[in-house]
Amino acid sequence: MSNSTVKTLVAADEAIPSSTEKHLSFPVLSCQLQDSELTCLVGPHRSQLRAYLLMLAGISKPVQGKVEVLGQQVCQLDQAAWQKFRSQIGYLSGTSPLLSAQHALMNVMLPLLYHVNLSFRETADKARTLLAELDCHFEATMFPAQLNSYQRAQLALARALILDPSLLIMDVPFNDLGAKERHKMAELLGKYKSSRAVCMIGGLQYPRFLQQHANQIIFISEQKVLIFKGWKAFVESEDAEVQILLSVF
Amino acid sequence: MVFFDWVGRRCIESLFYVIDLTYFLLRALSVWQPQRHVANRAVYSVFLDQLIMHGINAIAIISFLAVVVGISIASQLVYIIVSITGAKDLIEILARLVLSEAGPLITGVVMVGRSCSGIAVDLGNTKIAGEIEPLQYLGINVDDYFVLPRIVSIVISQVILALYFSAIMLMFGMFFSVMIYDLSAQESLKELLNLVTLDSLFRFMLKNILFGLIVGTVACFHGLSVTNSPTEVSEQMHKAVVLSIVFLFLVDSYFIIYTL
Repeated sequence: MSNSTVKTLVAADEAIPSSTEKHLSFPVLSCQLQDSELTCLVGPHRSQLRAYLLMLAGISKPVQGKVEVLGQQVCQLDQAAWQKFRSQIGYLSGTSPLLSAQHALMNVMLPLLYHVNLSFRETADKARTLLAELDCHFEATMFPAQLNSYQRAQLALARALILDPSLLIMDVPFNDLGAKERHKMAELLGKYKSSRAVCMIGGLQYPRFLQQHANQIIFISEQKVLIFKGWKAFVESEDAEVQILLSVF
Repeated sequence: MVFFDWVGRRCIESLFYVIDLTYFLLRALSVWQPQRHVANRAVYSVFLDQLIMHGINAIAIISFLAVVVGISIASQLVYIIVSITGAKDLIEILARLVLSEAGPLITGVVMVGRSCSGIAVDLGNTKIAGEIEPLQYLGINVDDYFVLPRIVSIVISQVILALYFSAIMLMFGMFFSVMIYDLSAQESLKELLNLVTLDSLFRFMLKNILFGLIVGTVACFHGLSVTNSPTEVSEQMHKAVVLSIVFLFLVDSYFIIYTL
């Protein structure tokens, strides 16, 4: 794909995220997230990576620099515009669960019911189709507590994708998954990466996934930010901090 | 000196608490803006769930209490009134007591016991489990989806249940009086209906709307005040229950002074 046809969905320019972690220092980040590409944030501090992820997702405002998400500066949006803007960004968290009081189908339907004025039947049909696409083999009326961790991850992915977002943000999507389940999840994520920009943290638990799908790996530590074009460039890096991080996994 | 210091601090804390609570309610109500769909289907489904949980599911206990309280209060009243004034003011006193006091207050206390504690625990656990945050990131407004349907359903439940409670209680009270003192049921009913004026009905509705707002707002406020520890859930639930009851009696006292 030539550079002229690539659509930039997120652009960070000398940006520093806001964070409650006062003991960590946050170096400036300048990067771009592009359509049909997967960017993975890696580094030694989970909370630091999360602060950058939330900033790139347009959830938190930068304390310095500029971040444009889907062509808009988040700090300029009012409440209604912010809600509409958020509906274009899917969010999946491996650590935060689904709504336990609602059954599986309702969990998936919820963003669509809230943002789009469709009937219950149309919304349910759309959710069922997506669940079938994601190969979900469980009763749609089961509650999240009755499902296993992989099924819950499938549901969380379905909920993030129901509005067909152009940007998908994933916070440790492989959390709490066994080796086989991680492989199946990676296949699903690879499939849905093709039509949107994906930004995630937590891919180092499953290097094969990054090897196959990561177009950009951003290493963030307290001292520096390094941007690599893919897994090969990342593992071949001679940077001492990168080597230490890789040796842990 | 230490005592006055303590009293002063408690007064300032209480004032800030009331300001926080009012701001919380106004912020929740402010989501109803012109550009929003009035019948947002996601919010509507939560509202229906809550209405069933706090309104319809409470009918059985409210009916039981109305019958029991109706008979017990009526028996005491009948005894006292007849020994003091004869039977002539019986219906008026019964109606006044039930419509302006017992109905709203007993329903309010039942709502606090059933719904206020339930909502505080439900929202507290939902927040602790981290279920709210991903929804916010998907553009779902917490006030719109979690708070407002609960407050509105509590207000509607309180008004309807108090009306239902008062009707059943009055009916049983009257039935009891008629049985014991050989009053005419038709006369008593006519007398009772004459006592229900537009003004008294307005006061009754206003009182119940305020009660519902108090119970719903305090419950949601404390439920969402839970931050990160499971022990906070029970702590906030206790606070919600106690403060709801305190506010109910404060508002009730205001109405008593106003109606005297």
